Amino acid sequence: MTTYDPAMLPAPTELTAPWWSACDGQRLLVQECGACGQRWFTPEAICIHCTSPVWAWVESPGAGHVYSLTVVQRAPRPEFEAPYVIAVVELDDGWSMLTNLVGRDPGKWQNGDRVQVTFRPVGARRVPAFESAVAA
Amino acid sequence: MSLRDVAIVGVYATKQAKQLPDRTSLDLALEAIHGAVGDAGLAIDDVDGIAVEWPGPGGLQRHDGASWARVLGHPMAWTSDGLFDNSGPRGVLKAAAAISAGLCSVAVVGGGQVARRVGSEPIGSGDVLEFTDYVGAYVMTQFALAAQRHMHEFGTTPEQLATVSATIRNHGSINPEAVMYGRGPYTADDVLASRVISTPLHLLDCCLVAEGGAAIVLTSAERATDLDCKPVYLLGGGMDVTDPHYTQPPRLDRTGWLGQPAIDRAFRLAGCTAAEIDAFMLYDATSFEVIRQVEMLGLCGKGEGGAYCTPANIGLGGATPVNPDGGLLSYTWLGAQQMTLKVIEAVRQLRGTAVNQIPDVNLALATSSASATHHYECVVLGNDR
Repeated sequence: MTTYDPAMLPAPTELTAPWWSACDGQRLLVQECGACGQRWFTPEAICIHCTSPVWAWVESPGAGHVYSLTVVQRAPRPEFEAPYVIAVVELDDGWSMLTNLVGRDPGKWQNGDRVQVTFRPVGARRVPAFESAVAA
Repeated sequence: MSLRDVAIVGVYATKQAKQLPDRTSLDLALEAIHGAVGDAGLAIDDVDGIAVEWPGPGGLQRHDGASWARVLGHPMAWTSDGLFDNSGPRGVLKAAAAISAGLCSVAVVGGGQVARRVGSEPIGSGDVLEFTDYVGAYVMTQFALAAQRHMHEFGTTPEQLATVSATIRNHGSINPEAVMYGRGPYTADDVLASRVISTPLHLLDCCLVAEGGAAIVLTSAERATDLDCKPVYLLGGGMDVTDPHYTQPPRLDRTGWLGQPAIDRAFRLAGCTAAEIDAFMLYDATSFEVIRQVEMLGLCGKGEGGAYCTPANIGLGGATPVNPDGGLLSYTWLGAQQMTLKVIEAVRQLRGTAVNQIPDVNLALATSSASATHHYECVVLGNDR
């Protein structure tokens, strides 16, 4: 799936540009509320927990576990090479994201597996994916 | 005024097929409108409320209502714009609210679609989703994530999913109006033998992609008594919306029980329970969605949906028959109006005119959308107010 056509990546918006730029530098950002302290993803202009407009981008450690996963056998477009893994990863610092699991036989993944963020190239950009946090 | 003061007086479904090469979205929608208005014993001039999907070409994109006023030849008193507002239980509830509020008298909900020409590719999110598309996620993968977590938590098995698929597809295989008419019968083993799309979903666990049109006509219960038709009454309904669709991970603990508040509200308004419903038209984008909905309906306990969904329960002769028309798995899926067709099948079952008619139907439930889409609506319909 590493041949994903970069033209498919959307142009960052004013809100999301810092997140994409951080990915290029292999850092995972998340929004944190200045009022209630909670984090959220995907990006919104206000806190989705308490509606406060006061928030900041912070760097997430990118450590978490697999909440749910699916091994995709039929790709949506030729740029994706099946099989590949889509997962919901729950981050230890209190948020979750839709992502890919990489670096291991797709059939080997299980719910609860510990994972760590990594970044894979898509054209000139990088996007987050997760690999096993347990040394092979 | 309440929902009970509104009646469904006309329904119409066009031919549904994998492709309708000689049709346009507009003429399918028009056929559905004229068909449903005729079914009600009304004339086009009586229609003063419109919520009909028009995915182009032509018309004002995303401003369907204003376009319809021109096409139907007279001004509208009430309009609704937008794909999901103009279909299924949500469209019906919004139109009913407009009628009961006195904003219009006769409203049509529905639409038609041939525009989804995607060849052999799976259906995507419908838009470029900034944090979804690069992952390689598409509609079925998101449904798969909800199903996988349910299996992880409750031990739901691939065989149980396959039993749902086989049962509903077998309803469609004997429905001459179904896109998959004559295909089958299927066993659970046949479903499991079909290729995997996105674990745990096999090809036969996934809904169709097809084309067609559908429409429903609503008016006041009072006016319905003057019409030459058998009115069906809205007894209850509800909606539950959590996120813009496909933008957020379909976590079972957040959207897995999506629709529970809608179902609770619908039964509270209707003054009945799921046990009293005679026929269930459940949104079956995948086999798993039926399992999760029978749990929310309280037909069984949480986590017991897989074991509940046997032919003895959800089959045509079962205790709680689900999707007698073959559902999205075998009858049709056409973009948004499959939601309208859920209501149409409920009306036909109540009238006693369905193809695969369940005996003595007095209460029917129709639901739309599901765990991965982040919105869910339902209506309880009955023969008596």
